[in-house]
Amino acid sequence: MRAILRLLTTELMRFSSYRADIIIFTCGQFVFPLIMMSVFLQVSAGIGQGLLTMVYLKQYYFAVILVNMFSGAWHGPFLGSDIRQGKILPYLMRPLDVTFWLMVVNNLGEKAWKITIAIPGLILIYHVLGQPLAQMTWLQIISFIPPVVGGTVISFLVQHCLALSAFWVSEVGALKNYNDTVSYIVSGKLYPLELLAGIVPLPLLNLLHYKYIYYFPIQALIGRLALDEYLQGLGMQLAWMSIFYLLYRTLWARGLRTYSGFGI
Amino acid sequence: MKRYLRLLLHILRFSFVVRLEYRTDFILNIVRSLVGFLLNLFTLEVIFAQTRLLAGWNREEALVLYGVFVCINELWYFLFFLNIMQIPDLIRLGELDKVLLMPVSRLFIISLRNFLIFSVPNLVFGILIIVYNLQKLDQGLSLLQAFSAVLLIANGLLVLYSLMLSIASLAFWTTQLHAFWEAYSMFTDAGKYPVTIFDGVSRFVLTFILPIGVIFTFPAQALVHGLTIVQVLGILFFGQAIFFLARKIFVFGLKHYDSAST
Repeated sequence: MRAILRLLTTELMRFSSYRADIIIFTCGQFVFPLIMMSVFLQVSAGIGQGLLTMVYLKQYYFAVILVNMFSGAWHGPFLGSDIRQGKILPYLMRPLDVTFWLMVVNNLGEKAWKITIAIPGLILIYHVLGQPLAQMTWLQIISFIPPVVGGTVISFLVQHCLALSAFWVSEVGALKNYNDTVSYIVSGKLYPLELLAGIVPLPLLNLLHYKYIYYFPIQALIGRLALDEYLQGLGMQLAWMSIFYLLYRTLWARGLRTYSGFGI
Repeated sequence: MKRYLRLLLHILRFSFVVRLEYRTDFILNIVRSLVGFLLNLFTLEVIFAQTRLLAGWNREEALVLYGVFVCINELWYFLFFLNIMQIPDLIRLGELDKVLLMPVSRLFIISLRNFLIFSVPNLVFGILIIVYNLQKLDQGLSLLQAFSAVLLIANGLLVLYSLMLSIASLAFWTTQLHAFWEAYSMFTDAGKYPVTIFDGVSRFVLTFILPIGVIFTFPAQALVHGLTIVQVLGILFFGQAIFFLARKIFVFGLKHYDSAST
């Protein structure tokens, strides 16, 4: 635990040298949800609201920005490249899975910086959008925490499993790309999943893990989930966390059996 | 001029030969581009499943705009992407002069040394989408409209190239450019949709400052709604002005450049 905390401190200090990059990158992260929100606000204005009210759209996309900040994971291709180049060899000598924990502290460290830097931007956007979550209760804020933590863990484990595919596959970047494409369609990141009714079968949406990274935490924050839906969602998150954790342990054990690299 | 055309053909042949050496990589990159292309088409279908009009554009018009976006984007990737992305590394490593000392125009060799041939299939799909949806619109396309659209697509590509060259030129003064490119590519993503989805200040900024309107929407508008000659000339003049500024920034930056070799 002490080793992990020390790694986290080191990562936090390391990221301080990328302040300018993080500021610009964080600003860029606001852009995509706001573009999609503008598109669907026009759609809503055109159809006289209906399924997509302007209030809901503003709440939804502000929540997308928040969930994106908390749940982001991206280390698949980077760790995959390190595995293929043998750079993880020094870490294999350590008594704990340093490769895994290094990625965890990298993720948390970068997020700590990004979220801190994003606060002024978030406050500005919140006021420009007319305070979309002003009616939110403390219960909604508290009920948002478990789903977003669950979504973050699932997102991280998916990236880690993608990275470990590098033991057998050369193009981890391509796999991440395909994963991201499916995620864009069925996770709720691009648009509310209600719009996919009739296009993508509902059982498929409910079964896959993508929805539980974005759509489920967003609906919990906005307060559109009944208690049974909320508990069901948490149950699905736990199930997917377990599946991806088992997959990670299996891939790691199998991958190491045949792994060789230059150096040690 | 003939010399430059011959040089371009050589570079094109060379780019094909190099990329086709790694066939799996070649196929994977084409599939990756195609997947992105289909995702965007799917998103447009989801939008038009809800409404007949998006900010005054119907489904076929929006698809023409998307086709124009794909064409300009893929032309940028095909012709300039690899070369412009390499400029910061050349500056950082002090190897820019090796490129600039070649007996051709500086901007030519900096911008057109290598082509990214994975973009070709998507470029073809972009053209097909434009032609198919123009046919469906059945509005009739005059020679003047078609000609002004082609001019504005070339102009849009020039503006996009000029902006990216300006960002790359910042490498003469700073090494942290990755974030600028990431942020700018997030803005250019808005070019898939008509710039009229934004209101007020955002629309002005996205039309003329981060000029997505000039790059993508106006060429599509020339095809589907038509533009007056004055409007077309104004947009062309704007493009030339941006290109002039980008060249000035690059040349100004060269004065701050120190070589590592000579």
